[in-house]
Amino acid sequence: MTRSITTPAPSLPKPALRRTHISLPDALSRRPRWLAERVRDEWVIVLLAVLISACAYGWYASRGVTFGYADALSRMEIARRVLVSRTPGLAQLGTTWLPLQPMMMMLLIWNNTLFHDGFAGSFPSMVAYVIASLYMYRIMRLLFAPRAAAWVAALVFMLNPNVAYMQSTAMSEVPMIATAVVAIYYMLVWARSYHALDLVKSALAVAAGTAIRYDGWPLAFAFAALVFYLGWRQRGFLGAQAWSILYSLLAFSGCVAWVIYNQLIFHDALLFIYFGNSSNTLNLAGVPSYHNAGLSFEMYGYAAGAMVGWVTTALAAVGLIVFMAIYRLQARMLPVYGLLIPFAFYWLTFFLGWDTILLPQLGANQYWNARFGLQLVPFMAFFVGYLAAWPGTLWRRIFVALSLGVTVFFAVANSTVQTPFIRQEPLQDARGVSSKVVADWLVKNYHGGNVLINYLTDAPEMFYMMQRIPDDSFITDANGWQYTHALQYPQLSVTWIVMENNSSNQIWVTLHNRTVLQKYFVLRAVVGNTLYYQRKLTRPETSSRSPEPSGGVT
Amino acid sequence: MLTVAGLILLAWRPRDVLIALLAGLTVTYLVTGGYKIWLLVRGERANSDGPLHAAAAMGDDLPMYSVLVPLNREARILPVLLERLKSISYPPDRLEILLLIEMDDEETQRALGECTLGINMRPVIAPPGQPRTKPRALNIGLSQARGEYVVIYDAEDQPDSDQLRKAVGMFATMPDNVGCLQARLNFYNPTQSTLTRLFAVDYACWYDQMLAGLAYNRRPNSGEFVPLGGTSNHFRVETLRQLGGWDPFNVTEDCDLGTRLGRAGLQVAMLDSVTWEEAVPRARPWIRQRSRWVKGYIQSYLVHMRNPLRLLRQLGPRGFADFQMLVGGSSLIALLNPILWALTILYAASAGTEVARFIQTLFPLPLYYPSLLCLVIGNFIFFFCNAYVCVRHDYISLTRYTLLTPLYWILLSIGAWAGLLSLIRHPFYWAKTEHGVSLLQPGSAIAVDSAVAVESA
Repeated sequence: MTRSITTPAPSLPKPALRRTHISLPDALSRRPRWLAERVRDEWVIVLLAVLISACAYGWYASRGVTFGYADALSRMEIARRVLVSRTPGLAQLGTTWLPLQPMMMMLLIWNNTLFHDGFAGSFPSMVAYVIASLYMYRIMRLLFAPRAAAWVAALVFMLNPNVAYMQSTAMSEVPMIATAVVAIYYMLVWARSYHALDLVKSALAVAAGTAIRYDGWPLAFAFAALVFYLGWRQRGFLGAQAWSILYSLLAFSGCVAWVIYNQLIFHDALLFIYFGNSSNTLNLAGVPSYHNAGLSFEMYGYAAGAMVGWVTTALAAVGLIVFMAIYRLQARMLPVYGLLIPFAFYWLTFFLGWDTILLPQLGANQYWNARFGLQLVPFMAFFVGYLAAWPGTLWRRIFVALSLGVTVFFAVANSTVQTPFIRQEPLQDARGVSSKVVADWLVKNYHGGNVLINYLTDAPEMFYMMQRIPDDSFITDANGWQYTHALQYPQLSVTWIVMENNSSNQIWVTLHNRTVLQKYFVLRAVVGNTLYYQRKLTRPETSSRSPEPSGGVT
Repeated sequence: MLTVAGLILLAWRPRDVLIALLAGLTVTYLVTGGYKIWLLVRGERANSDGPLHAAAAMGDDLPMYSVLVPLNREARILPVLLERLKSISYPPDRLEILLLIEMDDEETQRALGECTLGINMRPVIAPPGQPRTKPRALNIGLSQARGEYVVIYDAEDQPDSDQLRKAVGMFATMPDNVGCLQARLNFYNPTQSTLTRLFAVDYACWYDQMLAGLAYNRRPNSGEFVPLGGTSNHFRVETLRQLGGWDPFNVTEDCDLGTRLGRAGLQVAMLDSVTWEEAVPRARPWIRQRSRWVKGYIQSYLVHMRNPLRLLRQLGPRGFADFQMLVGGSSLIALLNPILWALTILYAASAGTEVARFIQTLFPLPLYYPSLLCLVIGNFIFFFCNAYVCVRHDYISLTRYTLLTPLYWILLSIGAWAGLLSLIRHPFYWAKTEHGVSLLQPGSAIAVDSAVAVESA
């Protein structure tokens, strides 16, 4: 290739400056009708999403069910103790759960009221819900001309009662969905523009997803392969290499940072795989789907279908078949298949026995991890919306009316007459002695002093206790040497000991047979499986924070 | 006095003094890092809008143009240079090319005698004198220039052939307070070595992204500071003479002149044309060149900061901030980096010992997190931006070399320290860059073509 060095620029009658592209004011002033419509629609989508989000939060918060999932409380506690605890700092992010969602909660969680009523924890999910709704609409507008298709897809997602419930909680499902939808949108844009900034935006969303849930990791790998393939098609090997480097540096930064963090803080780069409550540790011991491809498929398929209802699921399946028949593996449409990554990921996870879903509908005696199915709601919304893009005005009108009718019916029925499918698991967990009841005993009887409690097993109880007891009064397994010291010499720094009669509770395992417990502490109450010990106090404490001097207790 | 007080304080409360110092360094990193990110983002916006184009002036009725080419021991590249200068598209009778040669530079004079000069080329022999620097030669050339406009080219330069026409066209459309047009610089030998590739990435970041951001959307009467490139600066001769030409004692006369343009209320605009240069392919001469640049930047900073308030008034807040960040900040960061790298390595190597515990105490929480932010996020952003600029501006074959950016940063810091030491020992010494090295490579005659091929591969 040679450089042109002799071609003169065209002569103009008068010297004039010009730009190679239309500047923004010009573009806006001559904005085509479709773009004006789109901007107006996007504002409506955002306003509608904000409204639904606020109403759903208000509805569920007023009924006290935003704390339904124990994990939601644990996540809020993680965020809180990074800022306020005996040992604040980033090390409090711990392992097992990825750190971005707790970090997002930190925006508000420093505020006592917003922490205790749970809004600080739900807020990132609510914002994510609005973003996901907007980008569902954008994906459809990018690919298909009819507005109706975009509206159907956005509304199927927005009006889903399970999504509405989860966005009211401090769980990580909806933020994960938002990052995936944004990543797919910008990947679709990049597959058309090959503009570096579009790929960076997609990679940034992928990176955020990898720092929210492990579901984001397979998406990162799948898109890495896609970027390489599309880059190769565009510019050969060098292009594939350059685009892949640009994408991978950013998209995998979250994964790499997490591994490094685990190495630096816990001296084990892969601790998050094996530690405590990680899925791997919990379920390796024989899950029903282990090496059972059919059951793995059925499990995830059922959970995903139940999230949107069976009519919508059937429509989405038809949409997928039609889409695949028309577009097959067309390069510019390939990122759409990213919506199916959760299915592949969970199917593989179940098949390998790393985790599972338990549903009474499939013969189990309990609900467990049914919420995994939520990740497929964007897929359902997209392919139902795709059918609404089918040519023919009459067909489209009929289909839009039908799909929206089903969606609204499902939403109303599952919000009023029935309980949303995703709430079955927290409802089942609440049937025993609730964490709040357990915590209430200490809340009522607490009159100062430090509380020794195991965060890993008793996080929900601890959350309710924190409504009254100062954050820095708790000595937990998240406090490093203070915890191990308190376990060894509880009489020196602890007034209250909370332990569950359970072999996974480290305090129970360490203390319940030791003489130090009988010598210095008295059993004050047993609520459910939880035992409350109080130190045999002989003199008032001056500070809840300072460890007491040795020999101060008789 | 201050030093003594500092030493006393250090002896009395060493930990507190070190914490205060580290806090100062962290603030410096945060501010300069934030500024550069802002510049990169503005550069992206500027690039999205597209560069300003002026129609190249056509025809033969054009203003007189002087081209100044300072030469010092350039016998090797002289024949190639003369051919390149002959390819400039400009009416021969409206163009004069002054080849500025030192009196005692017999090597270049002898080579010149063996070449055929164009009709508008003439050698100008600089009389003996000190300091022996490029700006001194340029001042001599300026005194003899007959053009309405003047441009500087280095010995190894190959400007786009229509660059002068574009400059004339653009000067005609620009307001009178635009005193200088700066063409983009790029390399014609980016694939000669790993170092030239990294150097090309560095240039792409500066000229394609950050400089575009610096010049983006300036208000017509706002203060301005743009550090000029050492070559391909086009001036109105009258303006340049009024400014007093170049400072012969400054070893980055371009940076100094850019500052003086800003102080005089004049602006610099980007010219949408490229001059192809030779990248230094080996580490030792590269460090020499970089040491001169950093030395010159420190010189310029010290000279112009003699009266900071006047500088602030003359450049305006924005220009003043640009000057602090680009001239003072970038030199300081390059000097500080090795110290903080050493501290990080020392901490990691001494984990579990008293040394590590002492280092930990130097970073209380309010200092620890901003420092961590600079170390992890800041470094990552600049590392990533190199890859981004390569892909964004179509230097795709260079992208993989951006993974070696940390090694390039080490070289930068070595150059910075060499520059600081040189400033102390030989403040006006001009560490000359050897030109024509790429001519020794096989296939060098098609250097520019291959560079363009790299750019658009």
